[in-house]
Amino acid sequence: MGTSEIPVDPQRVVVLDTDKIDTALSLGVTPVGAARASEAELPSYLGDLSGVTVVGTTAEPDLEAIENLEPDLILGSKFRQEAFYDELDAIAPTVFTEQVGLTWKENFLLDGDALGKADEAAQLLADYEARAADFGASLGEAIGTEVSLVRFMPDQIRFYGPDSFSGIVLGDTGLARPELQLLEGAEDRRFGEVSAEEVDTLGGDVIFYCAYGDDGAAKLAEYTGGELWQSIAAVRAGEAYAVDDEVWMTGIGVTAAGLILDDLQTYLGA
Amino acid sequence: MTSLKLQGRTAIRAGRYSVTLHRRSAAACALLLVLLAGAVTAALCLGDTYITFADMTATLTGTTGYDRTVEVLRLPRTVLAVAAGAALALGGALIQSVARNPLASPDIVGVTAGAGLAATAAVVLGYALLAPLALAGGLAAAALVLLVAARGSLSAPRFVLAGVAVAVLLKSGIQLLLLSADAIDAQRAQIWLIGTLGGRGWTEAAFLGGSLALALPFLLWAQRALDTTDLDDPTATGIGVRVTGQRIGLAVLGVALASAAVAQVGAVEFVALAAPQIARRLARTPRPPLLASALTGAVLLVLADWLGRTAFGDYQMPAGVLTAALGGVYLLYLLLTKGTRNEKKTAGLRARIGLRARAGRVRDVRPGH
Amino acid sequence: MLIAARMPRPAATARGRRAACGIAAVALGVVVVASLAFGARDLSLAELWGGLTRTDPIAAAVVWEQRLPRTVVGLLAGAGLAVAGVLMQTLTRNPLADPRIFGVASGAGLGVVIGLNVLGLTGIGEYVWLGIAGALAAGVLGYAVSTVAARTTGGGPATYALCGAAIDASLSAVVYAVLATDVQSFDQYRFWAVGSLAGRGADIAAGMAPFLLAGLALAFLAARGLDGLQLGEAAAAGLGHRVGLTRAAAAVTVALLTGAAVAAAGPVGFIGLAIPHLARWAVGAGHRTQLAMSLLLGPAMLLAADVIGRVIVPGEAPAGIICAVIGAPILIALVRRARTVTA
Repeated sequence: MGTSEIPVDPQRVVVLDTDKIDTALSLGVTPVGAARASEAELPSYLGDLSGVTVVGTTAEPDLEAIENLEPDLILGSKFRQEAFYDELDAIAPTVFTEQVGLTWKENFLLDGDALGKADEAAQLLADYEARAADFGASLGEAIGTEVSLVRFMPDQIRFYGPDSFSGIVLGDTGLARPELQLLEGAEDRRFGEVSAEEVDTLGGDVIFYCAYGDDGAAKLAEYTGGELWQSIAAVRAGEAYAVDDEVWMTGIGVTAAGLILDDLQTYLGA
Repeated sequence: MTSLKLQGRTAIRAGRYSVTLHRRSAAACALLLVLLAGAVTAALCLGDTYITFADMTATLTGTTGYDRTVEVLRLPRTVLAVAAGAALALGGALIQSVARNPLASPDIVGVTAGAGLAATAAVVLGYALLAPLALAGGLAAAALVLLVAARGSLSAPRFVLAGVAVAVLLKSGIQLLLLSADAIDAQRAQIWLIGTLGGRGWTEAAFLGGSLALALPFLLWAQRALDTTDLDDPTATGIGVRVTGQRIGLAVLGVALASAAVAQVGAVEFVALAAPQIARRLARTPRPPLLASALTGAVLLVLADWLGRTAFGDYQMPAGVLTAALGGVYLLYLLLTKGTRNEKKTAGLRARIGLRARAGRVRDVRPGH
Repeated sequence: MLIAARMPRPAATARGRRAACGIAAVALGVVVVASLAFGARDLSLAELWGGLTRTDPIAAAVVWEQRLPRTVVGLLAGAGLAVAGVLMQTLTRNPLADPRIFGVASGAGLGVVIGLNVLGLTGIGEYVWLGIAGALAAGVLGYAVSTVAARTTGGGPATYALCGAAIDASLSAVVYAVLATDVQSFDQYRFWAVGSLAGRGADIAAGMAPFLLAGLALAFLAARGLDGLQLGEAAAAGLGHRVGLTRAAAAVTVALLTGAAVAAAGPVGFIGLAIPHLARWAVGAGHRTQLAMSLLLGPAMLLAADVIGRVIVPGEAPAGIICAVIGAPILIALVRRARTVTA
């Protein structure tokens, strides 16, 4: 993808994927522009983003709107904007990360470096990891609790494995996962799919579940109201918790990871 | 109907038309060039940033503050729109001429879907050589349509109907491939459901420009060849033209150009259908004139791309959405007017109606003399 | 009428017709059982029975919450699309008429998408109305356009099919444009645009049922008038049929059936094309028997496609794709067998 001269202390940053918004704000940089992932606009868990201009969608960024913001740095993702690299790089130095999710810590450090805040990024990441480890240690024997991660999509039900963002956060705490959700031997260990007929086979002592978009929320309401879901041991024990999809799934970054730890503290902490 | 009668009448017509046709065509081409210049100017000047005409031309010849906006963000995709629009329209004009049916455009008879299916397969299965595969896909689809339609004599409506059926089948194939694809491959391959110029530029434009340059000698040959294939079959064979070989050559050229465009910009529908017929009406020729068709296609796609990226706020509407929506309306218009009349009748009727239509045309053009 | 013209037709005798109906009923029974028996979860016959009788709570949840509603949606949508196809083919006197090919399904789809994404409706009981209105608008538009077009072009199946293709293309592009302003939606679009029964729950089945049943009842009420229409308008009027009324009733019925079927299952194609031909071949052109046969065969085709989609690939292939793969060759066969395509 070519190399870019990156300014030492970028002031006007445009971010083109949801994880970059988290990254920039975690490091105290408010982007001038951001691409939206859906009509739901920019993620709400990051607080008031009314000063951030929306520059199209993550799939088709509005290049001229980006240009008009006169950015000095663009953070994007090869996964989303591969075709637009040449145009973006002509507007401002552009840094693309390769993958989404699995490499979120590397992405955070790379983007932090690009933002001229490499040390702060490393420090924030270390703080987060220390907090995750402390939380795990504070659980004592409860660290063996198997945590199930379920997400309702409009057309499928997914469980999230150890290479997904929230799976990595769980891994950092040392919490156990149901065997199915470890995706042993699978090439892609980010997530797997389960049929609506088999939601009771997901396993886990505690379930965190969320829904992607309005259609996903409709599916969530439908399936979690069903007898099959109600037959799950964790559900019967009252250990199934609805969580924020923006934080656990689409967010991706140290701020989101911190909020996941907050949720874990609330529901699992002594 | 005897071939002798047809032959005599056609000869007179050819003589008459050789005067009027060229004048009208030349005038139409001049008008289209002006329109194209206007469309390109709009695409280069108007957007989130307004650039005056003077600044724009100064940017193209030298350096101004708008170099990046014009030369990186607007010019490449506009040039690509010109090339792709021209290639699609030429493909449409050739195939419509060979089939003697204005509805036999690459998008309706499955060529676009065939090229798209092959391209989607290339992306999803991870093959290189996307462009040659798309070409092979387009040709295979055309062959399949001919195979389905061929039964005794090849009638034009049956050809179109067979094309519609094959197109539906191939589009289902694309959808099936997309459903089974990885998210990233599906994202890359989705342009074969709805075409777009977003994120595309010089690379694609160079490929298409090269293809058009390569095709130029063949297009010059096609221009001459079309003058004879426009005649009814018995007449053409009667005056010793190798109809079959020539037709195959023209059709292959048309399919190749359309497939090349589809490989680069995806399924931008209906440009290939509409452009040749608009050009034909402007030039008042019995078949789509090639140069005017190419210019019309370029104008249409430049406008669609420009509107798509400027008229919907921060949302970048793919050009293919606009061409499909407007092209569908245009197709209805085509069906509602006499545009399809000549071609759709049986041979006997065609001769009768042809006489009437021709009388009308002669009257039409006289005031212009 | 066109397909398999040279094969011996069971329609020739009353006994043959009864046998054909019997075979169709058995076929439908088999696919209904298959639809309840096959799925992501392996259920033995004993478990299936336990589920149906609610003695095995897990199997009962699978059968009653997942497979039964989906099967009911398949039964209703398949019947609706097939019957709509019969009506359209008679109304237009065109062997290629089908809700999908004629753009009626796209009209219904656009209505539903506007209801869901623009107006923010959530229940099928709300957006089904928009689906029906969209189907009616697209149907009337397509009919008007192709009638005028037929006057200038001499008509024929190609004209009708092209009018449909034009409407379908325009409306599908608008559907895409409405959905694509949201990044989530391309995914939704590519799943929605083909039609599927996956995840259709009891609320969908219950929401669509009244409209479908009303449409089916209307279709049977119109059967005699349709028989008259088949003879041509003048002959029908001469025999005392109220041609205008029959046409209007049939058009409203097509909109009801297509609108509700599309709202529930998406724009599934080819059922309305293929089934009427099969039904006519089996039981002849009389509308009561033809409709009855379509009522059996339409659901059988949609459910069979759904079951095949569940079984052939890991995950699931949507029923709409399977229908297209089965149906496109039928369309091609119809094109090839048509003796003359300029009507």
